[in-house]
Amino acid sequence: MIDCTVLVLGAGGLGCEILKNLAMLQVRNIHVVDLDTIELTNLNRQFLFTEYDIGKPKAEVAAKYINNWNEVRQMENKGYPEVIVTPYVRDLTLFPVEFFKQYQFVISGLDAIEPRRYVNKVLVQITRETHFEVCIPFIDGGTEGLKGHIKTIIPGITACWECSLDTLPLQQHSVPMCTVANNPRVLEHVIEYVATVECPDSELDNPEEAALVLERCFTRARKFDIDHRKLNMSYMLGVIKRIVPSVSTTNTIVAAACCNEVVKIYFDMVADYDNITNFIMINGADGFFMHKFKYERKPNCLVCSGL
Amino acid sequence: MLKVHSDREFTNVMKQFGLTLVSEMDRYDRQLRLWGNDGQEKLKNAHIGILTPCYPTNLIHEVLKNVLLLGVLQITIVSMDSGEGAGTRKEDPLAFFDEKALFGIKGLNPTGDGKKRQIDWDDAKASVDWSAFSVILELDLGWKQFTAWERFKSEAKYVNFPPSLVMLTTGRFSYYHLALTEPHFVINTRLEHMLPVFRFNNPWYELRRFIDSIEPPTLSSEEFSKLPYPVIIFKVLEWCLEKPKSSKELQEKIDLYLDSMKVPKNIDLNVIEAKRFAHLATKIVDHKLQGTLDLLDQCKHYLSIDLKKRWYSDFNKQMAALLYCLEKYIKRFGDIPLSGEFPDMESGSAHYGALKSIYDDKKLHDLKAFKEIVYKLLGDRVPDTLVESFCNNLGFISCLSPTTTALDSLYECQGSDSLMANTAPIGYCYPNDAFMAGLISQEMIKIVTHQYLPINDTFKYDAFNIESGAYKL
Ligand SMILES: [Zn+2]
Repeated sequence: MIDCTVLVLGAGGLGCEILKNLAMLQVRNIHVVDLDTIELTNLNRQFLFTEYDIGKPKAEVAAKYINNWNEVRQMENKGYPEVIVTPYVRDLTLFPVEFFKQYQFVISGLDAIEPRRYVNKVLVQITRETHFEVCIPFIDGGTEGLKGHIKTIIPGITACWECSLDTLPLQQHSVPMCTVANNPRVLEHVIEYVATVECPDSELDNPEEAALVLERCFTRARKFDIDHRKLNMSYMLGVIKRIVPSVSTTNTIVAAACCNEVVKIYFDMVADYDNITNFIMINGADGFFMHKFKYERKPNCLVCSGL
Repeated sequence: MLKVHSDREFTNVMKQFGLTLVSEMDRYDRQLRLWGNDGQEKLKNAHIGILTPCYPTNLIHEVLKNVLLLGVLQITIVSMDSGEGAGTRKEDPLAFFDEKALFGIKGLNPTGDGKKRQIDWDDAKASVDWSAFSVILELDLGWKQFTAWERFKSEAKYVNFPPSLVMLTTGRFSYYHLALTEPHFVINTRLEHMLPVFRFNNPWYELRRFIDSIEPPTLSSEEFSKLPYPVIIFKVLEWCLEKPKSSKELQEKIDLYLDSMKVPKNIDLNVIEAKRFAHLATKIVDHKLQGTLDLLDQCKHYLSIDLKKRWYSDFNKQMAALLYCLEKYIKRFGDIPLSGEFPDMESGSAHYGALKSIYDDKKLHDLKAFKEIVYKLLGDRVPDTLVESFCNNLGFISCLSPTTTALDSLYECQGSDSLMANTAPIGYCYPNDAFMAGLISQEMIKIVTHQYLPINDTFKYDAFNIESGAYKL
């Protein structure tokens, strides 16, 4: 049994995998925080949910799944260590600093940037204020298609999340507005213009409005004589929402590596924290490539410098 | 800015107005963006065989979880446990998944009539049709079971066996190995950063005419800044008396040309692009043709239009036949059919559109010429859609040669490595099982969809240091 309390950020593709691994590692207390509700497009990888759960909060359904599993296991085999999951359907950045002090580990499976920056800041602050009395490891996993990363952050010792902010993949290659407005050449330029200039206030959840937006994309593509054989609702929404592809296998691999970090730290298997290789990059598109290295702290980091 | 607040709203919009009306398309939307409908269809129709010492184990549950989530419907598990009471063990109280969570209508793949079959080795030897499997996953077979399986395969010479994905996970080090009984063709490696081909060496008539129709001396500097960079390069190549031999030389010529044209240097983005991509114009053989010639050389012994010949996979057989046709095409036309997306570049909309449609027309023209060769040699025995994607993916096609080495050495490595210390305490290895299950499932995807490059052929993972390496056994 791993007798500690772990906070999991996000109950999505990585979150489901992390929760399952922690349960199988018999972590006594697992807390999970996620604001999102379950959608059909989640179900190719978020295995704690079924179609019957669509619309319900992810954190609650995930917690219920594992708590049920724990109950059945207890009935069949008395004396097994308990695993208890507590869900929070709340905005992470509204939790006060004090809240985080109850954890021995924080693991993130989030893709949004701001909540991770917030948690990083809070954990560094805790280490600073307690003079290393409380030092909570923060493990950050991420995937994009068949690629992924694992960052291990020991506040005050290794590079913090803010130190490595510039390693994030660019959200998009930005096309200059003048191209989008005056010289559109490809569908992305057309869609960008319609979405930001022609109908900036459209609500795409209204099917009629969405159809109207799509129609405007067709009109603009025709006007500039742009190849629009690929244009349809799915393509348009993919561009506007900047959808990131995701598959169960990569989520499994990255989440497993994140939980392995927990095991290593908990069982004191890390020989030298000052030289810990805190960064792992994974790419499964061409064979299977794993690159592990030490990411140095930034001396002038806005969050962790001087600690 | 337009907003869709959640995936759910997105799903609703997709359902009501999109072309993809089926819920299955929504369920798999995030992975369809990785391998397309064609890849998903192959997964759906795949039949996965699993050889294991016993069932269930954590490793198998992890594999089943992934395989079912991917959309696979048919799975056969062969238990090779040789002890008495072989086959299924009582449900492990420590397991995360149970049968209900994995299979059935509330299970992980409710999209069709999934068939899971579980069978003992003795029955399997007599009744299993091994040629029905797309791949066989060999999960943690012991040495005795492995040799029994190898013996069985060598005695059953009349049967073709599918690719084997072998995994050994016990201890600190885990191994994965791919064993192929025939060449495996990849229709789309999906490698990033593939450079475009503009045919600077041999422009065809329509392209030539388009380039000639543009007269830079008559253009204002604003109009000049709207020329796509391939046009600038073509103009400079024409202007040079001798073809520049290096990209540096071509870059200098671009400056000289602009001087003669009285265009300010290095200011326009299209000129910067022309210099950045100058190397595309100075090669004697362009990279896609070179890559294809290398591929044809690598698999020259497999190329055949004899579609009656026995291959394990129809897909590989058809690819070998198409490559044979491609060789004929190159002999006749001196190049491969033009393929790939015309990339975005700095340019005015009108010039860009005009140039793109010249390349698009040429692609259609070449495809037609290639199809004629295919029909002549193969008739209509290769589906049109495959011929088209073959043609369009040139440069992204790859081949893995069949395996020749025996697996014994893998077992030997594992035998000596398993003595090494530094593993997590017993009972805390679950993440390692999950990691390797994710890996083998991902390799299964690549083999079944014939997309992305599989591990070729061996992979070793050190769970303690989270380090890995790929090598040839
Ligand atoms: Zn920092």
